[in-house]
Amino acid sequence: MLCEKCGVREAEVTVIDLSRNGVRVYHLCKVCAEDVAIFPELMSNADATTEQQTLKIEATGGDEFISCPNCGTTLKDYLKSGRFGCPNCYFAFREKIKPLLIDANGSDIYRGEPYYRDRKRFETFEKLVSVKQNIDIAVAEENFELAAKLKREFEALKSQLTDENT
Amino acid sequence: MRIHELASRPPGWINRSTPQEKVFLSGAMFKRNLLSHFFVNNSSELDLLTIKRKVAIAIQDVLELEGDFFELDMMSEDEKALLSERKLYPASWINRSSPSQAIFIGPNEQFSVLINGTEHIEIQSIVGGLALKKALSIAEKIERPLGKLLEYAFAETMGYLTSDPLEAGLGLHLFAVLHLPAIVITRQIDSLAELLEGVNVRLESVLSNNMGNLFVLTTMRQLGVTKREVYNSFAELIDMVLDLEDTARDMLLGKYSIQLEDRVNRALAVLQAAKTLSFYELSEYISSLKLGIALGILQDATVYQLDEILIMSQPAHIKLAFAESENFNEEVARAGFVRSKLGTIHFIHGA
Repeated sequence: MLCEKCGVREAEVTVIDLSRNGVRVYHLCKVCAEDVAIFPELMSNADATTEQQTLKIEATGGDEFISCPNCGTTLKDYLKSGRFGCPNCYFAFREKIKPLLIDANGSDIYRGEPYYRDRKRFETFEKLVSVKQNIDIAVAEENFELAAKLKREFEALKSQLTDENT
Repeated sequence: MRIHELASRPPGWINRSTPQEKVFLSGAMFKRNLLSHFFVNNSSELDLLTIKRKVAIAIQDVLELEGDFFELDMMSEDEKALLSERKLYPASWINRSSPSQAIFIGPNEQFSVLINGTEHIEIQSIVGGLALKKALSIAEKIERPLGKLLEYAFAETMGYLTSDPLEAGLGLHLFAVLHLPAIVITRQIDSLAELLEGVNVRLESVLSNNMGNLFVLTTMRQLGVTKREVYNSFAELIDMVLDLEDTARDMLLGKYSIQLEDRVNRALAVLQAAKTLSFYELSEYISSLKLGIALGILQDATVYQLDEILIMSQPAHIKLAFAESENFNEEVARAGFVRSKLGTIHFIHGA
């Protein structure tokens, strides 16, 4: 791929332009990437009113092909779309996106309230979802006896969830 | 409720008794994803349908929230545009909604849950006027119990995980729509936007090119801060912006009162007489009238009346409310609607 700025040399550096309107990605040669200080001029088509924050990710040496073991998303995919593929991507690309997060937030550490997970409740809810699905099937098949039985099961699971909620 | 019905009435959250002319609405949005699924942009349709089903069951069958559930792909583009004009659905999705997308809308449109938009779950609340605390608490009342049934994607050090890493952390945006005509007239809006950018608050024109002088301010910071800190600093910031607007208004009234009065009178004259009206043109005139009320130049109209006209005159609203009439033309229908609403208002200064 040729450099998007000079169109002559081979693109070796991926530059992420992080404006408030979204992420734009440019593939540049090493020489043009040095001009990153005068970057706003390079991005003639970007919205001139938004403050440009620029960030350079050196994507040589195969970094672009680092991939998430869970969903297969590569760093290159992210650079293209600005989106991760699954929650696990955060662990696969943590170090790579750290400067991006610090640039945008002034920090890369979560300081909000913790999220308490109640596995038992999640499991009860999953069970309720599958019972609900079976009720729909039983009704569609006009097996009303089964549907009524499942409905009682559904109500029992629901009261477990709502009781614990109060 | 049918989506169509929204076109014939203003949203219930509009503050009727004590409308605030400078703050149109306040809101909060939580973005959440489910741990055991890929993000929306990377998921199969089948997987997304499963997610939709789970969220729908949690909202309707277990939490039994009051409201209506709508499948987006069952709607016409006009109906989706209507939702977007009501700030319930992103305009960018109108042409590409899928069977896995759905929205749950609470009473008075005060809260909504969009399923499989950019993230699995987007919980939004809207309150009329300046009421950030109330908006946050309405959204929390859905976000919390939902997170006890569905396991959110969350990491201790990173917070709530979203497909866009710049949204990860609190997964929260607070926003407010402000009416800032004097800041625009005195050409301070760009420098204000720059200033806010520096403190991680985005300022955007609600309509394009600053039309209608309505701006949405949105908090962007997700990491290194608590929810309370985001709230406190945003509330302070809004006060500061409103002070700036007041100062600019005082200056205008002191130096250019005739010009201001002229602006208000012209706006009223056009709205009362025009046979065709584009929405953008209307939004400018409505802004002038609102400014006129605030400065005591126009005493006959109310802010509520004008807010109602502004909302109900948006393109999809007009289309869905009047499209069945003979020889429908959007701009003609809008002008007629506005004339019928403003016909009784009089100029207060004859000179």
